Amino acid sequence: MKQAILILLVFAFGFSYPLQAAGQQIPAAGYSVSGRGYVLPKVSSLEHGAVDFIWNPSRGALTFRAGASVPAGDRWFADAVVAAGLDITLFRAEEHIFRKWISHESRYAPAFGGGVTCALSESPSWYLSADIQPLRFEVGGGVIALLSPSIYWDPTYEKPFTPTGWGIRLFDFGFFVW
Amino acid sequence: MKRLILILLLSFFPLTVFSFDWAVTGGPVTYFPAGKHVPEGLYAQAGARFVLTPRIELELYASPQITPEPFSAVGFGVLAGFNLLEDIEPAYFHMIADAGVFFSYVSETQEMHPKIQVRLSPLSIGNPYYRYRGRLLTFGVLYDLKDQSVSFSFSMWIQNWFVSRH
Repeated sequence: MKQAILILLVFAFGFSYPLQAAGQQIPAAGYSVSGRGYVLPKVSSLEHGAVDFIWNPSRGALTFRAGASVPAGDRWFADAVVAAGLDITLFRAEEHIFRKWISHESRYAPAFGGGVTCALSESPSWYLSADIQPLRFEVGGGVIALLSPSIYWDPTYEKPFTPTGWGIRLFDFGFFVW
Repeated sequence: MKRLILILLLSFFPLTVFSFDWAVTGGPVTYFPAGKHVPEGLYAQAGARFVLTPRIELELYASPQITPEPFSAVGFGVLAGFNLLEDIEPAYFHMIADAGVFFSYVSETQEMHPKIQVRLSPLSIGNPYYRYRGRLLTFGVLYDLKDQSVSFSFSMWIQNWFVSRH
């Protein structure tokens, strides 16, 4: 029984990593899993679990993302939030101080991004967003970002440049698989 | 409060002079149902985890509220961890159970609630050899000794970064 469980887990985990053998096309699309928190009107302040589709056609500086998140806890799946946006990698550094903590080959790749967010409550609310990802690393065929703060604006508010709220992505694991 | 934190820190400081594997831990956690001693929000958990034997570990962690009001509530936990399936090395996949105590403190009410905590990670990936271990879908039960009530915790992911090898 234990072996069967382990085989299943190995099989499932195997799908999380792209194949990058010599001559193979490098995957440009994939998914990311993240844990987020929002301080926004009409959005639950509970921990949100999010899944995003990510696409970086040239594996360059621009990564498109679109996905949804739901609050965990005692209001599971009560108020979903959908979002789409663009991440821009500022630079990539092979040498960085966190290399010792990451067992695979890694690159420090901080980024910033922007997009739109919609809280799907009874009356959907739209927000513009901007975020920075100061602790972002490219590891193997994936991307890891920790502690990424974001701010939100309500474009319909009379003072559109005054932030409406803020949020944070505690972790974000992206895997390029296709 | 400060005295308690100091005692906890001093109690575990001697562990660091021994040649254990140990890890920095971090991840998000949600406590539910929300109440006056566990206000609703996103919480982080961060601390250190010591591999005492191939099967037994010890974790000391803090769990501050991040949203909606950062650090308006905080918890401190001391947990004994057990690798249920196999020794921590060389196995790559594990199931981990933790049991211990958790103290929650809310600055608004200035109340501290001690709790018995039990939690289970049905899947964890990695070990000290790989310098990381990710614990997925960790579900916990907390029994409040003051209120004699039960609450729950859930973490999608808790990461252990092993920064020391024996």
